[in-house]
Amino acid sequence: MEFVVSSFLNGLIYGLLLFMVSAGLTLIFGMMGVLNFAHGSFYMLGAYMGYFLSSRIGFIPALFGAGIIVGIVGMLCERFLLQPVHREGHAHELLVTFGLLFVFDEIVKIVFGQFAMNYAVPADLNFEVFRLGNFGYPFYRLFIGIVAAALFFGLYVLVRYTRAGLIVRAAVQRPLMVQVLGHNVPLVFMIVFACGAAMAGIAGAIAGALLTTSPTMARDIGTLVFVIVVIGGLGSVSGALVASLLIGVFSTFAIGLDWTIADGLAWFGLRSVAQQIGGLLVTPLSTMAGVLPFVLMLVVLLVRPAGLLGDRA
Amino acid sequence: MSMAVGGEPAVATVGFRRRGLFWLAGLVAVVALVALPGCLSPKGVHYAIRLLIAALYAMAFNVLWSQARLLSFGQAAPFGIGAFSVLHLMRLFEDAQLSFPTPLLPVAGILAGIVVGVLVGLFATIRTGTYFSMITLAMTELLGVLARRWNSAFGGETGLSSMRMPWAGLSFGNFYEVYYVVLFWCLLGLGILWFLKLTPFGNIAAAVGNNERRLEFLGFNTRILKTQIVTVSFAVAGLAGGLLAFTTENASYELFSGYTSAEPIIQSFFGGVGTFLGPALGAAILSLFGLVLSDVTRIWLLYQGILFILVIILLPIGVGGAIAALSSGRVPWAKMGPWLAAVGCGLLLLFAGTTLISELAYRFFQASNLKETLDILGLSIAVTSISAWIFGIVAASIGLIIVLKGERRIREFWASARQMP
Repeated sequence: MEFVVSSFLNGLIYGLLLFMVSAGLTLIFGMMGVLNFAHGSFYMLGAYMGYFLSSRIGFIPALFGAGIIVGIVGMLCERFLLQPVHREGHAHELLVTFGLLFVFDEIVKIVFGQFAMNYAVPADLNFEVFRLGNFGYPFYRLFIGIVAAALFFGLYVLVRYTRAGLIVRAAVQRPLMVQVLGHNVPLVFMIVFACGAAMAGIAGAIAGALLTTSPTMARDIGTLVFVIVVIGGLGSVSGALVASLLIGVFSTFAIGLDWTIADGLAWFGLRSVAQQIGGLLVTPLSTMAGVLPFVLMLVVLLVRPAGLLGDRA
Repeated sequence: MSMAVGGEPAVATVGFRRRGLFWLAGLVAVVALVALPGCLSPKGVHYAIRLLIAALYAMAFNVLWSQARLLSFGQAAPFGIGAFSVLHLMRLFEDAQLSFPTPLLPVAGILAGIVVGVLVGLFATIRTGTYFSMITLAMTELLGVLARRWNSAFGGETGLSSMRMPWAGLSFGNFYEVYYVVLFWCLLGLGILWFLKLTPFGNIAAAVGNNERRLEFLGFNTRILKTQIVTVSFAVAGLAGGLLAFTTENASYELFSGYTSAEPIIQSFFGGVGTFLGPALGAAILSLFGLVLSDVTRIWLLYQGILFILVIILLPIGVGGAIAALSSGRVPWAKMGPWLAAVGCGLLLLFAGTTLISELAYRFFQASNLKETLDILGLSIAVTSISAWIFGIVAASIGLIIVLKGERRIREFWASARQMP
């Protein structure tokens, strides 16, 4: 029981964290039709900025600082690197973000080095909120959930109920038409890109303290958020939320379980046969947790190609 | 997007004289490749083999993109499987002490590539566009995890190793002999790809990329077609992987990493996807760039990334496309010359500035003592020298501003030079 509750909570929190990164990615995709490979890099930059700033201006201001700085970096990238190749087609935009991935990786390695940073949860946020059997549940995890929920709520209200949100939604659907109506669509794109980057930056700054802050974190999360965005439906923010929570909960449970295929076959009295064959049949689920998102994505793509909540195939 | 789909426009549309020149150039290139090991050290020959394999691998990717507009993120699957099947075959004959014609080993890579191609192709072609890419990515990731866990087949952390057995009086113990085997297979692979473009199959493949729906209305089963194209591409990628295993006598699950899939994409677009040999050129340039620069500086990936972004922005048609455009004789030099010169100067400034800052920064942040110096071009610059930092930043900024100002003109220039008679 404890295992189920704590895994569920951790999975939920992890899912919300993933959502903060994937929300921006899915918005950017919906708008420009491009999978942004550099999105994981914005997350990583956020973590490093959070680390760098938190020892100077305190943790909470550092979160805002990281968001603002990464947002500005994202805006500059969009304006000066992506806009020029916009006319060349999606493949070229994708490739520029791909190049950015390498550049950001190297810049981080140059300034901060190869190894993980000593970036930990600040002491005044590091306490137990409630007890779960023998374990105390750390407040910081709840804090992540609160920030993510606040961001989602803010984003939802902004996109759904404001005039700016109306223009953004229209620009996502029919950019040319919106431009003809007299709105500055490139500016809208730039701002949305910056907001997406800023959210990834804030997520990085929060997650870096809990997980690790190292130069590999961009690649670690990069493909995962791709998968989430596809599962949720490209361009759909609520789809990204559902998919993030799904992946978060699934993979957290999988890590904690050591079921094997042989266990399943034992129901049919075939355990000894399976154990003789060995290999994959006796590999515990926990070591395969990394592939779960990909399996899920394959299933979703084959069954419901538009994604869980997407509206275009 | 008005990119020339498939074919070498400069060759396909011009007369007999250009065609004769083309074959002559091809012959000269082949002779040069055959004669190349004679003037290289063993290390150089090893580099040359790696370049050949990278070129073939990039060409395999470009079959999918340039003709059918399928962006595969899963090229590592046939590459890795091809490598492992050749290695398993080598081990088989090594253990059994059987005599097998060693130069024919890479055939196993082709066959493995075909099998993977049919499997992945059937799955991935259910969907189009980004979804196709994501399915290929997912299948390759799954394969990678499988390889990581299945130690008896993939050798775990250390990977599998074997030896090339002597055959027909040849030992295959040095890189010179290996070079000719690899060269033979690469030329054969290129020849097949070139031949396929000229066949009706090649034309229909290009039609898939141009207007798939129309092709469907004409009665073609595009899914089967796309599976066939994927299979061709994967067969060649499998051959490239097999040649790598043949050369290094080793393979590990690292072959299935995302970087292996990304390499041919980067190289193809760098070299130009609209020209037949562009991807091979891009692969050769970038591989050589990596091999040479990784000896000189630790942060070579930064330079490669910057170079790649600049090429994508300033040369959307790639290096090969630019060469084809320049040699077409339709270049409005008078109008564009000044812009080209200005952007060239801007690039030089940008290059000098970024190199200076990056190398200084690397030493400044990573050195244990700040007394360290940057030795470059006979100068010895202290990492704390403020004037050097200011010089670097100013040079890079001015260069960047010039390049960004001229970027639009330059792309117009390529667009005008690209229009063929």
